Amino acid sequence: MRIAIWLFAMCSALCSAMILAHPLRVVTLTNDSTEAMLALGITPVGATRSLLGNPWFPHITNQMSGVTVVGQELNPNIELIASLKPDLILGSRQKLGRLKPILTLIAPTIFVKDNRRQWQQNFMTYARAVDEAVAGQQRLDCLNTQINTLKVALAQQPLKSVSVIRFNPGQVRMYQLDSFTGELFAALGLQRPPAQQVHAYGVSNFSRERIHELDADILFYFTYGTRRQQSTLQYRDSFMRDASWQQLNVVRQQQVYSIDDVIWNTANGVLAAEIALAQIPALFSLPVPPELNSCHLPARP
Amino acid sequence: MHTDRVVRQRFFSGLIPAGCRRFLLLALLAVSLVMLGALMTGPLAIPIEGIYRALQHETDPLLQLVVNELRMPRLVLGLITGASLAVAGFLLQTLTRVSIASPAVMGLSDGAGLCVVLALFLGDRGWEGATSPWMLAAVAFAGAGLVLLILRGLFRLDPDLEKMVFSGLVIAAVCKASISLLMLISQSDIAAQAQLWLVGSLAQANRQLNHYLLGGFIVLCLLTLSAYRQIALFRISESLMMSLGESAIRQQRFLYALAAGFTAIAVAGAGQIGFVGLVVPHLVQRLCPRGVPAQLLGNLLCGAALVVLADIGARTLIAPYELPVGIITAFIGVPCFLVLYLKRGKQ
Repeated sequence: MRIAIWLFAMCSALCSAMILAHPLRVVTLTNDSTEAMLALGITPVGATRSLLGNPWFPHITNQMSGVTVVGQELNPNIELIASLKPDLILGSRQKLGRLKPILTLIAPTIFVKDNRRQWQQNFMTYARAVDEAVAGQQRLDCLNTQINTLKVALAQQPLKSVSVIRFNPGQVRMYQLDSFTGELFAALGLQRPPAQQVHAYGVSNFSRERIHELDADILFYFTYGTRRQQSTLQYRDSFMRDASWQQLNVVRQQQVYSIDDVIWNTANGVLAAEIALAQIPALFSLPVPPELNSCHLPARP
Repeated sequence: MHTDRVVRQRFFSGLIPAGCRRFLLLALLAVSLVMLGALMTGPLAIPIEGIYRALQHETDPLLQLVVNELRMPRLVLGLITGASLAVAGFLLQTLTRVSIASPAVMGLSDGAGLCVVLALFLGDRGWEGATSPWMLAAVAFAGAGLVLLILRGLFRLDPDLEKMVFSGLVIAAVCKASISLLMLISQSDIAAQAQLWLVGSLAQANRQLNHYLLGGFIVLCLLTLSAYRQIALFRISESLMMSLGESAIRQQRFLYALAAGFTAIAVAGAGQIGFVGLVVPHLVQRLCPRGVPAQLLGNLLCGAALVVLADIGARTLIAPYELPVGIITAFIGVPCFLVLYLKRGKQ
C-alpha cells in the first residue's frame, strides 16, 4: 500500500513535470526554501509560518498572499500539507529530518542538510528541485556581482574587522563563520575577531567575562523577536552597561549598530541576503555608495 | 440483578465485580467513540463512511494517506501511551501505597526523558543510530529503570515508601535541570525540537515506531496480567505482602520493572505526557473499587481514551498549529485529580 501511494506520488509529480498542465504546487517548510521559491517566481501553495512573523516575515508578506499556513517550522501540520496535494515538498534535514519518511508519502521531498548555513548551495538545491537551475544560477551570479562590487568598495575603507552578536532573552550569542552573517561577511572580504574566526555556527550563552573577545572595528547586533521583546532590550541595556563592554574599542569609537534580526540572521534566504547587501553601504557609511545591479527577475506571465 | 461474575478459563480466572461491568462497557464505548472521533477530525473532515472506505483502500489516495498513514499511527500511538501511563501509575500506586505516586511524580518519566534527550543530541552530533525507534525505547527504559534502582536503593537505607516517592520528586527535578542544561548548551533549533517533545506530543507518530512500541506494550500487558494475583495481594495490605517473604520482594521488583517498562514505552513514543498516570488510576479506583483484572482493564481503556481525546484537542484547538498534548492532559487532569483527591480525603 505504502509503495502504491509512493508510486502514485512519484507518478503524479512526474506527470505534472512532463505535461506542465498546472503550475508546480510546492510546499515549503522553512523560510529559506520559501524565499528561494519566491525568488524563482514560484508562489508556494503552502508554507510554514515564519519563525517570528504573523504569519510571514515583513519582507516576504506582500508576495505571500493566498499561501496556506501549514503550521510551525518545527512542527508542521502534515495532514494539511497532504490536503494541499503538493507536487514537491522542500525543507531542511536539520529541522525536520525525522518527518522525511512520512512527507515522502505525500510528495517527493527534497531537504537541504542545514538551512542555517551555506545559503547559496541551499538555494541552488531548491532551484534544481523545481528545475530552475539556470534561473537560480543567474540569480546567484547577480548577487555575487553585487558582493564583489561591495567587496571592492569595502576594501577602501578603514573598518576591516566585524563582530556579530545577538541578544536573546536573558543571554547573548556570539556568531562565527558558519552562519548566515559569517558567510556573508567572509564573502565581502571582511575579517572577524579571533574568537569568531572559527568554523562553527556560534557560541550560545556567551559569558560576560569574555566581552573583551568581541572587540573589532565595527560591531553588529540583532535582538531576538519582533514583538514583546522588552525584556530582551532590558537585558541588552544591562549588558551594555558592563564595564568591560564600555572599554571595548569598538564601543569607544561608537561603531556599534543594531541590525534587523530577521534579515540578517533568522530568514537565511536569498531575498534576505539581497536586502542585507543593499544595507551594507549605509552601515559602513561608504562615502561613495557603489552602484549595485538589480537582481529582480521579470515577473512571470 | 447486580452480581459479581467469576470468570474461570484455562489461562485466566478472576472476579469481575458487578459495578465494574457497566464501567468497563462505558469505558469501552468511550474509547471507541474517541477513536472514531480521532479518525474523523482534522483539516479534512472525513465522514464515517469515508474512513471505512479508506481503511479498505477503496477511496482516493489522499484520503487513504490521511487515514492510514497519518491519523491511524497517531491514534495507535495515543492509545499505547495513554494505556501505558495509566497502568504504570496504577502499578506504582499499588506498590508504594502513596496516592500521588505516578511515573511523572516519581521521576521515572524524567529519567526516561533525560536519556531520550541525550540520545537525540547524540543523534544530532552525528551518531545516527542513537535516534532509531528501537534505541530510543531502550534508552528510555534504561533511564526509567535507573531512577527506580536509585529509589529502591534509598528505600533500603530508609524503608519508608512515602519518603521514597518524594525522593522521586527530587530526582525528577535533577533530571529536569540536566535536560535544561543540555538544551542550553546545544543549538537552539534542536532545543526547540526537544522542547516540543518534552511537553509531550504525538506528532512524531509513525508506523515503524508503533510496531516496536505495540510489541513491547502487548508483552508488558501479558506479563502484568499474569501477575494480577500478586498485584491483588499488594493492594490488600503491606504486611500481608511482607509476610510472604522473599518471593513477595521478588514479585515487587518484577512489578516495579513492569512500571518502568510501561513508562519507557510512553516516553519513547510521545515524550512526557503528564497527569495521565496520576489521574486515571484514581478515577478507576473510584468507579471500580474491586477486582484487579477489571481495574487493569479499566486503566488501559481510560488512559487510552484520555490521551486520544486530548490529542484531538491538541490538533484542532489552534489549527493549523498544534498544541503539545501534555498541556491538554494537564488542563483536563489537574482539576479531575484535585476533585478525586479531596473527596477521597473526606471518606
